[in-house]
Amino acid sequence: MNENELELVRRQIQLTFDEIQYLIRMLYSTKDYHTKNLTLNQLWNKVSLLHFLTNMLDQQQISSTVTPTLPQPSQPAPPSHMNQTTPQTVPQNLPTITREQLANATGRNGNPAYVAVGGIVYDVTNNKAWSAASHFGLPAGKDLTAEFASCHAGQQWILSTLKPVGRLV
Amino acid sequence: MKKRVVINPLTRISGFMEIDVMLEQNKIIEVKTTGSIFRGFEQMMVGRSPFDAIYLTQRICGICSTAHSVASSLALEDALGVQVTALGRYLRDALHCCEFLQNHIRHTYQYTIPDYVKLPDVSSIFKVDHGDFRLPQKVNEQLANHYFESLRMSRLAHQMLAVIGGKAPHNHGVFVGGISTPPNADQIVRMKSILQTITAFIEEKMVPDVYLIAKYYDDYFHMGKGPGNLMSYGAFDRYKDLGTLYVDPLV
Amino acid sequence: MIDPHHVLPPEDMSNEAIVRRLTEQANVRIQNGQLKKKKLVWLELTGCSGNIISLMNGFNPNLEYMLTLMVDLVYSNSLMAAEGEEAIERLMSVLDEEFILAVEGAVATKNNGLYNVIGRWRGKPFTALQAAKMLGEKASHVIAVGACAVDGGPSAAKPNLAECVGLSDIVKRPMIKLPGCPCHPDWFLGTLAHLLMNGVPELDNMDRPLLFYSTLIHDRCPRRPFFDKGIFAKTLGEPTCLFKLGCRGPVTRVDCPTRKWDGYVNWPIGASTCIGCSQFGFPDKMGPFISYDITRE
Repeated sequence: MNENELELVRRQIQLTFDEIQYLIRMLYSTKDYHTKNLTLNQLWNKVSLLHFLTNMLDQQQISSTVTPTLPQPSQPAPPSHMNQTTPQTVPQNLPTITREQLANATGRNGNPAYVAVGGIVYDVTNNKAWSAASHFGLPAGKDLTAEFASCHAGQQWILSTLKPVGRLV
Repeated sequence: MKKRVVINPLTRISGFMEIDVMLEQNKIIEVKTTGSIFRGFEQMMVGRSPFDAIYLTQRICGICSTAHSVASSLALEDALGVQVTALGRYLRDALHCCEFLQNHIRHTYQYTIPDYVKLPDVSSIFKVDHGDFRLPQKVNEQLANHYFESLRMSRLAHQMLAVIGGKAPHNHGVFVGGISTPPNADQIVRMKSILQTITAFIEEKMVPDVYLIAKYYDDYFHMGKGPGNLMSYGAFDRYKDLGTLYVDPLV
Repeated sequence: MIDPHHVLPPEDMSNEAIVRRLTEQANVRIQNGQLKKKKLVWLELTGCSGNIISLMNGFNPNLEYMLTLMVDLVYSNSLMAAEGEEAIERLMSVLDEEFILAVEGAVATKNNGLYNVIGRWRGKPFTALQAAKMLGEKASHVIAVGACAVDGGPSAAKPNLAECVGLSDIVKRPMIKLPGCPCHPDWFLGTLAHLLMNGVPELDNMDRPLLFYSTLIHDRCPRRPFFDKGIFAKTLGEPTCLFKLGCRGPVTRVDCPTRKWDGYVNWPIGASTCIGCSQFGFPDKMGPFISYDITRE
């Protein structure tokens, strides 16, 4: 894929996120059984599309050098039954990142903001939930596996919205 | 014969207070006042980012929150060695003045007037079993109307604050070096327009109302006088061009 | 009569208009005798008493309207004419009647609640803890107003010497939660109007009315285009996205950007960063409020 095609995929992802958000809001506001079912179906379709698109991007990133992340689009909360269904698709040949390197990636003084969960290091520099490289009192540059497990139990999907940049060694 | 009188809650203040008075032959011989809330804001600041103080200390008090943000930003300027420009100081003080207006209007009408004026029977909140009401009916009626009118005025004072402060109470405008975002002409003229309405109310109604009450309760001037030692930190004082507009320190 | 949920153009669809319609509708029913003016108790507990100040800042409806036409306010430390024992007796008198309870401030629990005494009853200190339990159990509806009442808020900030907790930790019953520091007058008065007319409004899974708390600040922020393009402010006062300075708009769910404050003239992000005051965990989990070392290169 060239840069234009990549941009197209990214834009498509952004659009899909927006649509998902819209559909979720719809789910909240409607009481009609049929509309609800229809909306749920649409949500499923959008989620598969998203899965396809992110896979495409991941494959691309293996062959290209690491580029700085674009701002992350909004993360929607998924319907509850979706939690178990997303197997992690972390690319296999990520560079290794030491604990010292991770500790330096605090997001401060020009450094990127990294956090580790389950042995994978993710870039949250421009992730919207990480204003000023902190998230609900937690700073970047740390292994937050335990914190993730306690606050986002059953929400593994969140990890798939983050950009993996390395393996923690 | 000693008699003890305890008033708790002392209502119509922002917070909680108890007054404990000991009387002997209708003379007060001892008074204790107790503030009955403790949260420990000083300890909350320990280990926190210094800038957070400007926002967090405002939560000490809902009616005077801006004063706490101003005090915090002054302390930070002192600690960081920041020199404030004359303009920065004017803007921050203008914001603080809006809080003064709000605070004084609400203290006068919502917090004090119900001790002197019988308010209409529109809500249980205005019912009171005993009191020292002396105003003639017509004057009483007039002041009761002003009680309701004043609600709009104090609201406008907070609106004026929010024009550059973002919101009130607990503003986002006060910051180290003055204020966070410089105002534009549109905002300045909006504030001036609101100020005109409030000024008219204060000059035509609020100040005369206070004199009116003073006339009927002139014996209160001789009751409960303190030692007369008053300390001032100063406020809106010693401007380069305008001098002192309100009060100098150490008066 | 116009149903406030289903109006068609040219009816005004703005947030203020919806609140106004809800309150007007409630008023019509009160005057028709369809509704009796319900009693409202406003308890100030461990906090800054800033939510009642904020309530006085309501424009449409305003406090005068609420006092005279919506409910019969029986108790409010900041406003009531009575004081001392007489005030507390008024408070106790509602226990035998039907009343709505609005609580601002957290509940200080240390030393059996003695860190916050709100009055004296039968010669003994009457604590915020006692008041919360006693009135919370008897009220027909409970509304937790502001960050402190919802989950401890600033009163429970580290190290929380008074051991403050949110109302729901003390009173185990369904309640409506209106986080915010302070709570916007429209959020309270709109909820109250809904309660009077149509019962409890639809709540999300954290007991907040969807009417006000269904959108993320970030998704309605006028500075959003800058975020999407990756243009970030390095100092306050720049018109671009404040994300790198620590803005908590991306994690805070409330209608602040479209509603605005104090007669709808401005809002926090119009002046500085959002500090997440309407988010659970404020202030400890929303800090630092402003950081300058993120954009330093």
